[in-house]
Amino acid sequence: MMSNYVLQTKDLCYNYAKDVQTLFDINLQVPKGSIYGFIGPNGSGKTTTLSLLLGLMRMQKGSIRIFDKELKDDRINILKKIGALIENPSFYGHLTARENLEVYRNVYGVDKDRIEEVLQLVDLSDTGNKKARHFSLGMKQRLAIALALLPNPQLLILDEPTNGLDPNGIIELRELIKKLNQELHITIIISSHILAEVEKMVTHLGIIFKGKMLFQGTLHELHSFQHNQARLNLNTSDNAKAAKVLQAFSPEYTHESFSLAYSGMKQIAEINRTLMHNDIDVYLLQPKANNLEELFIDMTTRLS
Amino acid sequence: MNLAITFRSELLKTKRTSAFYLTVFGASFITLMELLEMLTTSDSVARLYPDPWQIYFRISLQMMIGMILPLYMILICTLLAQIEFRNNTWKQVFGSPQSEVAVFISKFLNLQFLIFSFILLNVIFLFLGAFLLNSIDPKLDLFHKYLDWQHLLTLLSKTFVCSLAISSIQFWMSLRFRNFILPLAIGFVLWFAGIMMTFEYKTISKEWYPYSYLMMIAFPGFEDKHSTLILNALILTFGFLIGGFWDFKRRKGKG
Amino acid sequence: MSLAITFRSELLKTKRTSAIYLTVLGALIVPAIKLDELLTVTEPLAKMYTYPWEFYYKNGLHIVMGLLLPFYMILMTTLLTQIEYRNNTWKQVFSSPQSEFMVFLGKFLSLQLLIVSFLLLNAVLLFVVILLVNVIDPQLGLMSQSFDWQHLIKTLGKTLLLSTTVSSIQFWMSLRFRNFILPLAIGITLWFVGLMFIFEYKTLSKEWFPYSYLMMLVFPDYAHLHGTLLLNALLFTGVFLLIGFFDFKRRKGKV
Repeated sequence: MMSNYVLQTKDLCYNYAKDVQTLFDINLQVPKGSIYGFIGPNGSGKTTTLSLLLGLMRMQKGSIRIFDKELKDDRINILKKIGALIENPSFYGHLTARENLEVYRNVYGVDKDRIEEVLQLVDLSDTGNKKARHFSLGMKQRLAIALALLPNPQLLILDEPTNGLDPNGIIELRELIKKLNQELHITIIISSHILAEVEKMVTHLGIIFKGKMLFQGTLHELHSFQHNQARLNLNTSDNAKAAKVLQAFSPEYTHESFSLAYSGMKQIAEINRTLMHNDIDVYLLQPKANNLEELFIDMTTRLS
Repeated sequence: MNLAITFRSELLKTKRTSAFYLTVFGASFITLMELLEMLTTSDSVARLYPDPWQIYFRISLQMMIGMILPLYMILICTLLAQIEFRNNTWKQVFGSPQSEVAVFISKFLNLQFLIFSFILLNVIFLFLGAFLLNSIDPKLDLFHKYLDWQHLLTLLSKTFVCSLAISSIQFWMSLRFRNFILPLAIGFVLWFAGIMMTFEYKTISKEWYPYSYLMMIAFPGFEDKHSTLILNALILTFGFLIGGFWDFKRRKGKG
Repeated sequence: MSLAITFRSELLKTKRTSAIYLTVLGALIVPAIKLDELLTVTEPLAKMYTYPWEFYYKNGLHIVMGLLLPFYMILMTTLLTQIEYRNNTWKQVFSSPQSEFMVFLGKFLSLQLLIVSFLLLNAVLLFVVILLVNVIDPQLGLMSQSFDWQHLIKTLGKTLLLSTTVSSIQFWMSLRFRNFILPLAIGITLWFVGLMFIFEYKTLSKEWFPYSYLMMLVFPDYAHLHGTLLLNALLFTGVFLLIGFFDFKRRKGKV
């Protein structure tokens, strides 16, 4: 039976040192035709996960299925259909853009025209004899993406591809990724530590933090998840007392911030009334900023 | 087929690196030194008169096989492996559809191809140098003098087989260490110990010390050991390639 | 004052690099081989040498001076400058409040410090080995023989002075070339040419070929040249440091 997922992992675990676990039971599900944003702060295990997906590191526990095949059974054939950019742009500084692609052309078994095609796609076709070492940061990144596109991949894995790009470069890359997805139907996994950067292009999201998956689903699901998690910032003349009388709204109270959970505007009014009844002056009563970035920071700081 | 593709990709990577210059200039070194000596001092050409080819090749090839070739191998092994380390491209290599064994063997073949070219170029340059000397001093009469082809070919083949042991050890070390100084320093020291063992000290059995092999092939006095050396060289090469590959596979991506 | 600061910063940069290991392990090689030799030969040690302290120099300090030290310098110089190249830190260095001159000098001084440590470590370890042998074979009677300290100090002093020539040339090349293979290959080739000059060829005047100097210090035939060598060495060092510095200043940031 063909599943709808291009890529699936099951209970993926990994540890670099004996007593330090880096990944805990990662279950990724990347649907066919999606742009999957893999989000998490630096050091949360994104690169480790992606490296495992490409077989760059030995799998310790769990399983990885790509194109409905076990990675460990048929790695070479699976890799033929994957384009990848892991961590830093990876190419040979002493070679030109064309020569760099030529190094891999036969490895992926594509013909010479493909080199011109991908160079055009990333707008590097007029770099001539310039060595890659002398490229600007943005050009280096685009060359790395050209290399990832070389095999006509069905799945594209991009690890922090916006690193080092200027705002214009980020917008161009975003357009390119959308185009690849819509016109060529390539499934794309893109990792980033900045949610806002990928929010505008992804269809699905996975949020990882400290080696654990916090959330996985569509963008829509994330929005409703966020809705259930809506919170209210407040500040009063006596926060400690306020926290006590508002026990029902699961208050979170530190000396820096004070927040309550709520659902619907009516509850805000109710909270205000309760405070007034108890002779507490209200200085601030404000729903938390309603964007994903806030949620992301929230999710990740609450666990740290 | 797969191996051919990966090998071609490896060859492409050495384009415009110093591997090519190192091979060509390194191979011309002995010839240039010989010419310098022969052309600037008065009696050195006359020394060749009695048996020009044999005397000429004996001095030159002793230097080439015993000293220049090991140094060249140590340098070129490090250079080849550093191409990936310096450019941070190991991940790309392993993320592409090539098996680890194809990558490993292709790199080793590429290395052997360069070493083989180096030996061949040395001999070609030496011949050119000899012809130049002959045209300057026709008394040498090289075209009518006996050249022991068979001996030359045997010597060169023995050299190549024995060199495999060093190149496979250096190959392993160069892939093992990200730091380029390590394989170089260890290689030089081992080579150096090889010289001392061959000429000065007698403690360890030389037949199992690969960095001495080439010197024992090049210099007289060890002819009785040559077949043992060749056999041992093959065994060691095989051993280090297997060990090297196992280590390479185990460590991939950690580079 | 600012030189002291730059020098300290240069020293810090070598922390946890292979510089320390290369120095310490490199200095162990000759003493270790020596110890092995002294412990495994069967004939009485006393018979091997005309006077007991001879073996401190022969196959000991002499090998260090003539062969190992040049190699060490070639490797170490490349290692030190590659720290900046590998980490892409030249721009940071030049944009910090240190004059180019201080950076250049600071680096050269930390190189010299390592070279001095290497030589002294060798000298000390050789003593340890010999005292150890004396304990095992008291018949040697080393303690009853006087040791010519003055000669040792003179030899070490001369060695250090002569070595500055090679190290300043290598220093210039290593700063000049981003590619680590170039200074290594050129250095080893020049060293090798120096070796051939001493033993094989007679064309060039050896007094003007710095890579031969250290070997000429070892062999008694050249004792009459030592004065000239020291003078030439200082001259060369001065010139190459100047060339090196101007080149360094001219090229800064182009790396």
